[in-house]
Amino acid sequence: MNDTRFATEYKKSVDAVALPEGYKESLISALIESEKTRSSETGGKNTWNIRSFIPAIVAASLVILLGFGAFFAMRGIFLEKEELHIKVYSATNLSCIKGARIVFRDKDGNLLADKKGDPLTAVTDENGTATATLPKDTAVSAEISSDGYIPLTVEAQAGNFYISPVMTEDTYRAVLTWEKSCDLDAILTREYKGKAEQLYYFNSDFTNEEGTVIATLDTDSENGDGPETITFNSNGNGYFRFSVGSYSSLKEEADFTFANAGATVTLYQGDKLIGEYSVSDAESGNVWCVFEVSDGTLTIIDDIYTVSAMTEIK
Amino acid sequence: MLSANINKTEAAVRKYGDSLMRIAYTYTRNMEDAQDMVQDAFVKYMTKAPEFLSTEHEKAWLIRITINICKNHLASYYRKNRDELDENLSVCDEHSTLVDAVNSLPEKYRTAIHLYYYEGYSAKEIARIIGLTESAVTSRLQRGRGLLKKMLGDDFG
Repeated sequence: MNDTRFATEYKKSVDAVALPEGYKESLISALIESEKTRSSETGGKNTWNIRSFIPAIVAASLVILLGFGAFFAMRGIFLEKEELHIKVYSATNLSCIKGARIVFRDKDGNLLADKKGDPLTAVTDENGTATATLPKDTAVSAEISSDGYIPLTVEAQAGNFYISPVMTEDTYRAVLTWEKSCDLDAILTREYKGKAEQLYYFNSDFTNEEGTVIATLDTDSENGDGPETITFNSNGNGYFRFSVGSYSSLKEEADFTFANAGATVTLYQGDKLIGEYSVSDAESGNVWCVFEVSDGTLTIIDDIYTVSAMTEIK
Repeated sequence: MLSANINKTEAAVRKYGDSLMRIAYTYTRNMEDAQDMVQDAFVKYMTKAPEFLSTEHEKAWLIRITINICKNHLASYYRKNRDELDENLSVCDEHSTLVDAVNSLPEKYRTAIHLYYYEGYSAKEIARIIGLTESAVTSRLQRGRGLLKKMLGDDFG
């Protein structure tokens, strides 16, 4: 049996396995029930009578006041420190990085020291995790470095951090992260010889005329928790524009803003960190055009606009 | 919003339901579980309400989500029922149909073979759907074909 005949026979064989009768109707009924339940859980609060909650609100306020009192009393007694767990990943394949070194600086740029006076340092284990005990409520920055990666400086806080491998000088990499659960996507558009194309998960690379890959979607966030990383080589390959799209806001999140989502783009070129960009105002829109690279020249755009379909992103 | 989501999801169930059920069946090997997996995939579709660039994109997204749900389900099922499952999953010596033969392949070959021969996707498209390189998919297809040839003898290859 050759390949084509196998395909025909296999299709026949698969089609001969009967699907449950009426399963689509059962599925649709179950989905309607599920949507109704979800809708009543999220939207039903509009029908509540606020008066019935007054006793609960008063009680909760008292508990909160007492809690604050206890908190400030304890704060005066104990020295405030907190343990941070930092996890370091590669921005291109999300593998954990073992042996990454983290040092910490105060707001004046001085290295924090341990009890012996040595610089306070944390090193990631095989799971990419490092732990450090730092003064609480004090602005501290963390410098993360590892062999073969571009050093990254971030605000010292618990969480996941993504560092970029070193690239060739004409290569750019943008790493999109966000704080709130939402469906953001990194999108790269390219114009070359009058043709435009868009890089996204189902078209995850661009090639040049010789068939060499010049841009890739390195990581695609399927679960809506980030990051998304795009790498591209600008050398003679046309005009590139990097944007962030909010798919879910096309549908129902009318009050969505990139500032609320905590979206941040970290941009690298070659072996350097170019900058970290985020949206500070509450401008609404579902596309954030972050930067463009034309003939090797980088320009930060930082423009927010609205589209009705992601295919309209330019 | 409820009716808009429902209408869109109902259309997707009617359009892609059969394909997704058959893909889920290659994992679960029983229709009841396959239906549960597909239902979970459509719940995700409805709640995330993603925007798609094309119908191919939409179908590929649903296939990808269904495969992930099946894998997660099998991983937790396997952990709970390891001993029983090992006995039940022994490869049969005789396959009454090609479906049985393909379904007896290890999961990584089975998925590639099904998407290639039944859904008609190329190795490059399969790579994008299941998150592998094209060469890894090509290798899985070759090894899957090799195993089928061993099972089916002269009836294959």
